[in-house]
Amino acid sequence: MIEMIIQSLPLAIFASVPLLLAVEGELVAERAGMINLGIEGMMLTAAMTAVFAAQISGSIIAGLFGGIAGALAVAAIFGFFSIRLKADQIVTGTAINLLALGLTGFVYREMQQSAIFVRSVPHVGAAAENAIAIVSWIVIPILLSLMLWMTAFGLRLRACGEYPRAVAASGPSVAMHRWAALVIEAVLVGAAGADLSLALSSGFAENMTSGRGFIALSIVIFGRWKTRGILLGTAVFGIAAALQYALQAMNQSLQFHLLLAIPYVVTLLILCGIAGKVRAPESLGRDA
Amino acid sequence: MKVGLLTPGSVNDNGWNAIAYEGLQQIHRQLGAQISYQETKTPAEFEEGFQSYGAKGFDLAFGHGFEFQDAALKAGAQYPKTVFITTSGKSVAPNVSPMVFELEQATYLLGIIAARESKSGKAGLVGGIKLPSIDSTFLAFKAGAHSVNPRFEVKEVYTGNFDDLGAARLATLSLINAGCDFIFHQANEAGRGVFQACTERKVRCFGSNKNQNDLAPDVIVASAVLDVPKAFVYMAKLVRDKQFRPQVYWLGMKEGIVSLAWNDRLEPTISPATVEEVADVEKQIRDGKLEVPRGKF
Repeated sequence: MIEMIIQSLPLAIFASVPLLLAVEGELVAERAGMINLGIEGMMLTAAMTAVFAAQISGSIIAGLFGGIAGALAVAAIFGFFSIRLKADQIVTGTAINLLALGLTGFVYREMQQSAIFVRSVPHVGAAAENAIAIVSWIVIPILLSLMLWMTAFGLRLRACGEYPRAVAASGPSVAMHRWAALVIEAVLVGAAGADLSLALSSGFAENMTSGRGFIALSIVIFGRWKTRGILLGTAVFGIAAALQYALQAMNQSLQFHLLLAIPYVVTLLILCGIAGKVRAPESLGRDA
Repeated sequence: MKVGLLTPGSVNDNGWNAIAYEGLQQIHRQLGAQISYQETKTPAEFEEGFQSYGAKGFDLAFGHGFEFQDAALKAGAQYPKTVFITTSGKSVAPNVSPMVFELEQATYLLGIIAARESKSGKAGLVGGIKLPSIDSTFLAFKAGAHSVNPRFEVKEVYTGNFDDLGAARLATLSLINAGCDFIFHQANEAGRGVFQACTERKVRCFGSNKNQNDLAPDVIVASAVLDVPKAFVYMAKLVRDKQFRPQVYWLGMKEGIVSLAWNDRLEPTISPATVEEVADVEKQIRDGKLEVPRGKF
């Protein structure tokens, strides 16, 4: 059992990188008062544009930027409707998910025979995959914490999520801060999509995010909108996900359906058990 | 000759429906038949589709899935001059028959290869969703492995979907960590994640449904291949030559629909005794001397 956990741990660390990056991005957006339900579609789009960029240029770095560009395009749609036109964020996000799933699926089916999807994608080596994991698990959380809790910009960003009218009254533009948060989210979710299609997997597949965006949304809530909380939430989910495969491989008599549910149940239980009142940003999901 | 096809989804899906449409086109090309297809979603549409082919005097109409059985029986009674074929199923009437593919014959051989060539005595299976057809190919794999080594261990892992390449890779790595040194998958698109894991750990594996040997030429030893278009042409020829008899048409190695495709690059790494044994068992299956076990569905 102990050996199984030790073997599963490294798998969990790199396999949950796309989820973690998405969680980090959503944390920033929600702190600024936006629920981006379209995060699933954003990641899926990024996974596809990353493959396009990597295949055309032959470089993984270009693939990363391609993924970010795809996520930025989706963020622009989300921001235009939810910030500029003050449309309902939930409705906008849902529409974006449907759009992204349909559009990427259409493009993928139409271009099935093209070299972009047939040829194998540039390879991310084991060393690079470890470096990506370190950046995602350690460097980015520190930077985000510093930005959100140590800078004036971070204070104003959080104020946009708590009481946007106070921000507006004191001068700075709420819309500009929310746009900034959205750009930060898009960069992180774009990287998540690129990692998904270029590192964790080798290429694009329809609906390949398979719910990671939605899990990211719930981890941000369970993590109490705190960096520590979301790191713990992602870690618990990631380890449970890797462990349940090891359990499936070990035990043939257990129902695999139950094992597949383990990550969700364990994450729920652990994060519910941690003391502390759930307090969402006061103006989350509301326009300014 | 006029041949129609009902598919339950888009013929551009590069999978189940696309391969049936490819079969229909080959019927046109090889037999010069006039062809037509309809995308049908509901049982009512299945019936309307079959009835429209019956009313227009088509010689043969395919319903691509076991869900077309009821509609085929109903239309079959109405239009006795048209032959209605469903892909998989059990329902038989004077002009209605299912064709059932026996991919199990090839996965049985893969099981033999794994049990003979494995050093750890363990092989792993990665499935997407536990569908009866998938379960059945795994069953045959295990039976093949146990036919040469009753103590050979076969581990099974399901990911719960066919889209998540990352999950398939994770599942495969878990199997490899558990000591499996041969991997077989039934994860469709997500199978690419299986090959990625096998390539990075240099563990040998098998392709499924199509000849996938080129997807990971360094690790895929062989593929269990199912030639669906050929099955469509096979049935059309029977109807054209008035050889059609109402029965369940089992289509496997004997009919050339199912085959085992070795990866030429890796075959030299397999012991000649194993290659010979597999060829021998394949011949027994082809001659009908050996019946490969399959799931009941």
